[in-house]
Amino acid sequence: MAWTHNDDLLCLQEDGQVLIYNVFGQFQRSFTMGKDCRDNKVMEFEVFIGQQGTGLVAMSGLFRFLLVNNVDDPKVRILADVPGLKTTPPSSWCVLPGSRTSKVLAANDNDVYLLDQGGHCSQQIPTGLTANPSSYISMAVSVDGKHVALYMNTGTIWIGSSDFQEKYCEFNTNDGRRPKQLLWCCDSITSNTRRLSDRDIAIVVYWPKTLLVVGPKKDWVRYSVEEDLNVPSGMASAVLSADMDGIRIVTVNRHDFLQHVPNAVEGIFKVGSMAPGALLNDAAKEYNHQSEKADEYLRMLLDNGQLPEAVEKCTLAAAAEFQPRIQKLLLSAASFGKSFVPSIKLTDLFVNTCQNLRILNAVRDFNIGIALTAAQLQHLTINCLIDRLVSRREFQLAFHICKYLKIPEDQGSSRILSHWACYKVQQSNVDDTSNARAIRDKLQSARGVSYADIAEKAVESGRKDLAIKLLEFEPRAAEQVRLLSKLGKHTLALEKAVMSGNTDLAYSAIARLRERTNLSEFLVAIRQQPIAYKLYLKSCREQNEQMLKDLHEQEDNFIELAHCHIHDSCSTFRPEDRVMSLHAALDSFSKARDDFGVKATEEQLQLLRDQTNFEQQTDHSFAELSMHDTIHELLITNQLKKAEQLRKQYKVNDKRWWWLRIQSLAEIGSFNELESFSKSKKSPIGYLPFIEMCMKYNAPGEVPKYISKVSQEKRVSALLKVGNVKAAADLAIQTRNLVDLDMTLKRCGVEHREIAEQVKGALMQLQRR
Amino acid sequence: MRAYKIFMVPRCLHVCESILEQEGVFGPNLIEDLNIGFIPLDQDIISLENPALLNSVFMEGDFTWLHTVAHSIVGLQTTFGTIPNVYGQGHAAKIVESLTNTLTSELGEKKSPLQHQIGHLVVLDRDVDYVTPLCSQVTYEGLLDDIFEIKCGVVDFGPEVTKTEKSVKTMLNSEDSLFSEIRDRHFTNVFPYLSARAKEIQANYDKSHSMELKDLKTFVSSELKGLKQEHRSLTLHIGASEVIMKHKTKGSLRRGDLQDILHIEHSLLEGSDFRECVNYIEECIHRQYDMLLTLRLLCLLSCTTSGLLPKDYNNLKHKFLHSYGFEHMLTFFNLKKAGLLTEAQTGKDTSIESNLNKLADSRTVGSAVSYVTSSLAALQKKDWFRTVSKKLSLIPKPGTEYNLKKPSDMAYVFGGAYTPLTCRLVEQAIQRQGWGGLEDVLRHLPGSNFEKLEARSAKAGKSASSGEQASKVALVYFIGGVTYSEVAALRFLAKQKGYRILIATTAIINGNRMLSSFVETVR
Repeated sequence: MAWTHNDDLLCLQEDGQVLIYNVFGQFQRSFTMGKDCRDNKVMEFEVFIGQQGTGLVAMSGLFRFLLVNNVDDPKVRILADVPGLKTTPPSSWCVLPGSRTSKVLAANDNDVYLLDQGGHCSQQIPTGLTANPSSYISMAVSVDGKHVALYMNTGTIWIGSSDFQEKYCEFNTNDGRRPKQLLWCCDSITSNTRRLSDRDIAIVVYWPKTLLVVGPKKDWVRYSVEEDLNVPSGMASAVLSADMDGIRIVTVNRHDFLQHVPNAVEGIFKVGSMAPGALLNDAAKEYNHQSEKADEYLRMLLDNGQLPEAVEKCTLAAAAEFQPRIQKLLLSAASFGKSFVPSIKLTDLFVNTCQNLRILNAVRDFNIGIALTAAQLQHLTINCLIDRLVSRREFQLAFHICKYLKIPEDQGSSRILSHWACYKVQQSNVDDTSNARAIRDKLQSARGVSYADIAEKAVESGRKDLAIKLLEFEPRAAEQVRLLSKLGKHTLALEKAVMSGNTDLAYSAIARLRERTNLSEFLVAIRQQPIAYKLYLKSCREQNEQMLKDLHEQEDNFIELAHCHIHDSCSTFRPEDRVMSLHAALDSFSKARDDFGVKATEEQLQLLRDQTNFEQQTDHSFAELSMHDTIHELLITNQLKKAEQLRKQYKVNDKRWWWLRIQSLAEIGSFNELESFSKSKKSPIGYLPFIEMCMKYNAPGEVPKYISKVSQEKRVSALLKVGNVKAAADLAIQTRNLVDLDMTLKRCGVEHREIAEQVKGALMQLQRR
Repeated sequence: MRAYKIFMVPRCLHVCESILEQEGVFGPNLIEDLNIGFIPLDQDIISLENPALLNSVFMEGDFTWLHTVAHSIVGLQTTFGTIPNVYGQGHAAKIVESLTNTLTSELGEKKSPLQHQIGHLVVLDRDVDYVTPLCSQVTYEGLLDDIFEIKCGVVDFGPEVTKTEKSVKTMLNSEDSLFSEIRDRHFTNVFPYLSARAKEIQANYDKSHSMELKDLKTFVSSELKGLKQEHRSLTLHIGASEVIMKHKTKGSLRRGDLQDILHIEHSLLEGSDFRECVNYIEECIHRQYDMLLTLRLLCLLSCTTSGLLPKDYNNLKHKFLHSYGFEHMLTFFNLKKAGLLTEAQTGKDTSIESNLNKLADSRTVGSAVSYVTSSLAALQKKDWFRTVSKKLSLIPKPGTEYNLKKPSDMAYVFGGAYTPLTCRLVEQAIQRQGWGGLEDVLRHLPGSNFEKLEARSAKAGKSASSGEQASKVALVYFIGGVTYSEVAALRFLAKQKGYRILIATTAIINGNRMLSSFVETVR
């Protein structure tokens, strides 16, 4: 059993099953360590905090090590076997956390092996070892993985660097018992930045009732540990845990923290210290006593230029202190000094320290019980602390911290509020309506709160109605709809989807509704939503045409239905199907009492029939031709009679008829016939078309025949169209028509300069008159 | 096994996922959204380049794309600050507005730059003004679009323009200084300018002949490249203009004479010579002119007269079907849904009206055709186009001469015959800072209108100078597309009033592209 860095409880069962619980003992998730553990049982395990999160190493019954770097993303790696370990467990082992991968140190009697993830195993020999042990019975690696300590059965401790290349010292305890716990007490945060000084690290050995602290220079201190009276003597009851800047000692009724006295604190409070911090502290004290010594101390600092350092030290010392009284003392000293140093950096430091201390003091309160040092807080970050508070349901404190630190709402207060709401919905003793209202009231002012997430929690705890009520407040339609349909409220989901105006949502809601309900229910539901209905029609048009027609029929929407049928008839190539569809369309049109539609469709049917007839009689294909094109086709294939027949049948008016005749005659080059046709009757469309057609089909010689027939006013433009500018100009000058002259002039252009001059002259004359 | 990835533009729809799932090819990490957003076509035009939107929103009533539109507005606002004043007209605009608000709130309070850089946003539905895109364009860029089709700001000039075998792809934007000078001109003013410019360039070339060696060196190093470029673009544009001229005067058997068509369009806009227009359209049908052209005139007829009389409607439809085929029953149906080509109500016409009414009733129980009813509502306001154009003085009195050389208002983009309704609305909205005073005009337009103004008090106070600047900048968003004529008109407006007008659109359209999206293409 151990805690992860997220404050989750991790339990490893003998069969390799890892169960993770939250701080309230509620089960979160589980994973397994693999077959090896299941078959051979887990003998021992160790949890460590590496850079990737919380890791776990287990030793199986075959004395094989299994490593998980991060329990949030459990991947079990099997490490190499330790040589010579067959029947006896290793005499000692520990985890060496690394930056990317962690390794395991294992000792088999007096051999030390380093096992890494690549399956390598290499023997390590501690440098300069003078003692001659038969086995290493305990070992410890510092939190940052830089130092290692080996405890030998002779009672000697070898202390050195973790790569075994450097030996700090050997210390003989003269105690051959296996220590209850062996761990490092070091300030890993500061030693990262500074070259390690001898003072910063120490190895702590714990036997029942005794705690031995040994520094790298063989200096040592012995503390006694209070033992639980209920535990038989000779057994240890306290538990030690290495933290990043010290060691926590948990006994039955105490929680002690053992750490090196921070430099800043030491500088100030060391007896007779003349460090800048101490001087400033004294100056502040004297100042409060209204003594002139204050000025003296202050000057001393100012003269040496040490005041900024002094302020910094006092601030840092305050941060390192646990008692508010001393914090206040030091902070006031710092603030006293700061007023003589204009430095933004120091001000920032001071302000941050004050803020952090407030938070620290708040969480150190026994009701909350998170005892942290300033350094730990810094490492943990505020956000992480807030997470921890939230997971302990200390919503109010977390909320206040966020407000106090002015953390942006979406990361801070809103997030906490939504966590609070999630928790709130799980309480089943309040009724839904008031619960929903309470949540709404609280969350109204907060931005970026996802009601959908809260509602989802409510669903998880089986409170559907509450969830639906909460979803009312969700502004993001997508989430709202998704959850509503998850809840089986498809109709409501559809309504919301339609209201959102996002048709994609509406489509998906429709589809889901369709899947879950039977057809008639579905139709009833969807008809109540006009927009949804419209969308459904569209999707039917693309995917399910029969459905579309049925819908139109049910709605008595015969016009739409008729057009669906026409659409069908146009998209098929088989004549029988086409006729069938058209008959259906005809039926619908008559139901809709659309006379025009009926007539048009009847005509089309007739035309199809005629076309088939013609096709049988001639070899020509009339497929896809319109009535106009059909007649045209007949005319150019010299089937005047049939064309006439069609003309009568479809009441083709004279104008169209003439156009058709002229065009087709010119097209097949029967200009003689064209001429006789022109004489057959007075043309209802004038004689200009004759000229146009002659020009089009390359018979300019035919043109003069018709020029005379063109009415006076159009003659000039006719001539122009033919390209006979000269004749046009002459005519225009003759008739003295302003418009015609103008038109001619425009057409003259460059190549007819003389004509242009003539026309211009005529124009001038006319205008003068 | 090969791994595939699908990129959905602009976003993945649930329907796609479910289809993939049904086909058994759906997997995790298969689909990614690729939201392209706006494509900048020029310094003042950004476009979603999504022509399908017009059809799906205004005909089928499917608002899926509006989400994309709203998204694009949100994107703009996160970059340039929230736009304080928003005015909109139309059904889709309203939806976009509310979607924009929801999307913004979903995004949460992102720290947008405090100073907004755009003061006004005008959102307009295309169905507010169908008339403008239905008219033939007569500005240079508009003509280029009508004749050569500009695609995403690129035009493909064929051999007839380049006078060589190859065709040339050219970017059309303000980088080309020559083009930016002529793009928005009425076509009659383009040729004189081009020839003047040609002379100038020639003169510059000539100058080099008489130069000293030293001057020549600087000339070659500095000016020559620019001259050459200009020369190149000049050749192209002169070529293009010639082709346009050809179209204009000669016409062709498939297209008819542009002059005639313009004449008909003008009479339609003025509301004169109704019979002549109908006859002309009939002729178009009989001669089987280009279908889109015929359809365009038909729609224009319908839009300007607020729906055709049933007699004319049926007559023209009948003839149209005879000429172009029966399948265009569907095209007519689509156009009716979109409100482009409609039948007027005469009260006595029982069958159609009862059908429409039935549709209107069935809407309450969920009919698909709300657009028919909305156009029905528009129809009941008889002759709304005349009323609106009179109120906003869109159409000058017949007989007044219009100076195309020195245009005095936006009507020049249609040869002085018509001021685009959308542009007039933009002008009014910016001038009046809202729709106030225009209620009796907007009442006649389809869809509802809305306005969202910033707190006036803040404005009354000493607002920062950048705020003042921003109030001169307006973004106009066309849902369903914008034509180059409108762009030209808005540019003119901006120059005239000293605004800076940015245009956002879902696509650049012209009459043909707009209609062809409604034409049923079954085969």
